[in-house]
Amino acid sequence: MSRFVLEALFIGAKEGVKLSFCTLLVFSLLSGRERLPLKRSVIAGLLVVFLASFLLLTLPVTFEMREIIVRMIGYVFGIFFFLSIGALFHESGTDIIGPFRSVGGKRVLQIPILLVLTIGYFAPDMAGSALFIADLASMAQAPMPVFLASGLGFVLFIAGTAALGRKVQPVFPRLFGLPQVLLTLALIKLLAGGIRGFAELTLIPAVQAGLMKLVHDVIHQTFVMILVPDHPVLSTTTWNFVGFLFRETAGLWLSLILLVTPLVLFVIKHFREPLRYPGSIDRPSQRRMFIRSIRDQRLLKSLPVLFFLAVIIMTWFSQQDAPGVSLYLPDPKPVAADGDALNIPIQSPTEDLRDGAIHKFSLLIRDEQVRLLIMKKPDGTLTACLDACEICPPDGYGQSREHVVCLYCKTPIPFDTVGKPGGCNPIPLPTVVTDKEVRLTMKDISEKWVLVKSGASKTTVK
Amino acid sequence: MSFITIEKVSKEYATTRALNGVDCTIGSGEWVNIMGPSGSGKSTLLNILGGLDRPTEGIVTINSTDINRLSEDELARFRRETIGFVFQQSHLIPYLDATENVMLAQYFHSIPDRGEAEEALKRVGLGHRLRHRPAELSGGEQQRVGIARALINNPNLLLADEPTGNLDRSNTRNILELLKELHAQEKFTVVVVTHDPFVSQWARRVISMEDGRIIRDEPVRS
Ligand SMILES: Nc1ncnc2c1ncn2[C@@H]1O[C@H](COP(=O)(O)OP(=O)(O)OP(=O)(O)O)[C@@H](O)[C@H]1O
Ligand SMILES: [Mg+2]
Repeated sequence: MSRFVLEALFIGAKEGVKLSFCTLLVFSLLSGRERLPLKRSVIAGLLVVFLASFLLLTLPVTFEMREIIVRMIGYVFGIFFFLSIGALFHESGTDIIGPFRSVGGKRVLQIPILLVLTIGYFAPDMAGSALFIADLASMAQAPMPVFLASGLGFVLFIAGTAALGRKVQPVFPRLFGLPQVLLTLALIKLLAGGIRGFAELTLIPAVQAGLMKLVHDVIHQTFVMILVPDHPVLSTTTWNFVGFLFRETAGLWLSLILLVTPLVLFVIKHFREPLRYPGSIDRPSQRRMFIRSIRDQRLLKSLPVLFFLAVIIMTWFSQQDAPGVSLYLPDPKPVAADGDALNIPIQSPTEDLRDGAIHKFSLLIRDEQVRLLIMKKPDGTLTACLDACEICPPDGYGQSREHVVCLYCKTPIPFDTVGKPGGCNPIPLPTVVTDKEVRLTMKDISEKWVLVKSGASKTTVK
Repeated sequence: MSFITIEKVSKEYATTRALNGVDCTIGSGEWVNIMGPSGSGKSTLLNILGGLDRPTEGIVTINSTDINRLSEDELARFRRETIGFVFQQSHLIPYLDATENVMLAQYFHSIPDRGEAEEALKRVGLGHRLRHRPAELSGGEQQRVGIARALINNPNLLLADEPTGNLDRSNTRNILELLKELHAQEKFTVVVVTHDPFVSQWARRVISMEDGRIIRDEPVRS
């Protein structure tokens, strides 16, 4: 069996298990004749997802569309995670939907909401996996076995999971209310939402990157807008301090805290919630039995939450590559100016500035080595900066996935925000990009270089 | 509707027929004594009523529940929530004190509650013996702990097999007076097995057995 067939089988099986288990989980909430329309709504959603995935295979799919699909999986995780937290707190007594409560109970609304959630939950994974299988098929010598293997894995594992699931389904209602189901769906998305076959099983690295960027942006913006005083010495101190917050491990911790805190708060609140006795209780033994049943219920209903916490905490750090080890550090290529103009060709026999990697160049200004950094940003534009920032010694940057990382303070800076002024961002240079070259001027470069050199203040701080 | 219905209940062992077609009903809140000579099947009947044993034939309904149809788990739950037992030996756990012995019954029922257990012991007159272990209590006191334990979960039915079998006259009187008082307050149904005619004074009705059958069933003249 070829590697492609095996991988297709695996992807089919994975999607099958996910689909089957998630559906069982949702159906355990929708038992009973009066909820039949809701079940039908879920099934209709699944049919739409199947159709859409098949249709997608017949369309020309651009790279951007794939990127959108990957992002959507991450967003779906986020949406389900936040919905579940809202629902958890709502259920444990904090009324967060308030006036919408009566609206939410209306069948007319529940049906379309459920339909949208079903499509939203399953469509990105199924579409992404379908595309990946199509890729595998195009790489294999014979495409048919690849498609067949994925279909086989899908069907077999749907059936297998459904058969096993039926055995355990009776305990579902004791463990899972609506919030727990939402949280479990989010967890499944996180753990099994990868759509790049063996190479990417989980979504954890992607979610980490997203959260770290969020954390980074929030801190960066906060300090830029409010906190950093304009004084040169104070500013540098602050930015050095902020550099600590930007470090990769700090981002990792902060993003973990972001995920875990609401759940921990919920568990605490859940167990602390005072008991309200129903009026029918008049004997002490009934009161004890009531307390016991509530305690049992609370424990059972927090098990999925505790499980989520355990899994997140265990996987969070194991997923991360050791920072610094895998940094990409190209040697600077010497370039020379032609008078005031420095023109760097976009494409040369040896490199292409648009390939997604960082490119370094070095030139001499008044006997001093100055390094430049050119790279493609996610929006497709090329940007040129000094390979240094205003606050650290000019050690420059390396690259780790979609970040540049300051070699001095280890701050990862997402490609998106490269070129924004301030903090430990590479200092942007005014740039003109033509079809063939990136045009800079020596005047700009030396002016900006002065900023790096104005580190007379820096040496006093350190 | 009667609280307990016993229909054509028989119990056979390999060599003996301990119960032979017993029919009887007991109303809610009644106090019934079962009397008869040794080996007449009194304990066997009581154990079947308490779900500790199953009849070979016949139906036992308690509080509208046919207890022979319950699974083991359901039966255990039913016993826990509906029935209290008192035996001749108090069967207290020797290394737990009086309060803890009562709390143990609460624990198996739902959750322990020390305050409530102590309150129950005070009600049976043991407010000054809360921390005593069984070995440090007299026979009468042990039986009081047994009663507190049997009633701690507010059962609807109290089954007692020779509750005063090990006690002298004055202790017997004290225990039965205590039970009478609690019965008046809580209105549970009482079935007491005894062969001691003295104990019958506290019952409203006496059922007499012989060879696994009921031979007499009459109210007590007071
Ligand atoms: N587990 C058993 N196996 C065999 N026979 C038994 C068993 N339990 C009781 N019996 C028999 O069933 C009959 C009724 O016994 P049971 O214990 O109900 O009598 P009792 O009326 O309670 O007598 P006592 O007043 O001595 O306690 C007796 O003949 C006894 O030997
Ligand atoms: Mg006996």
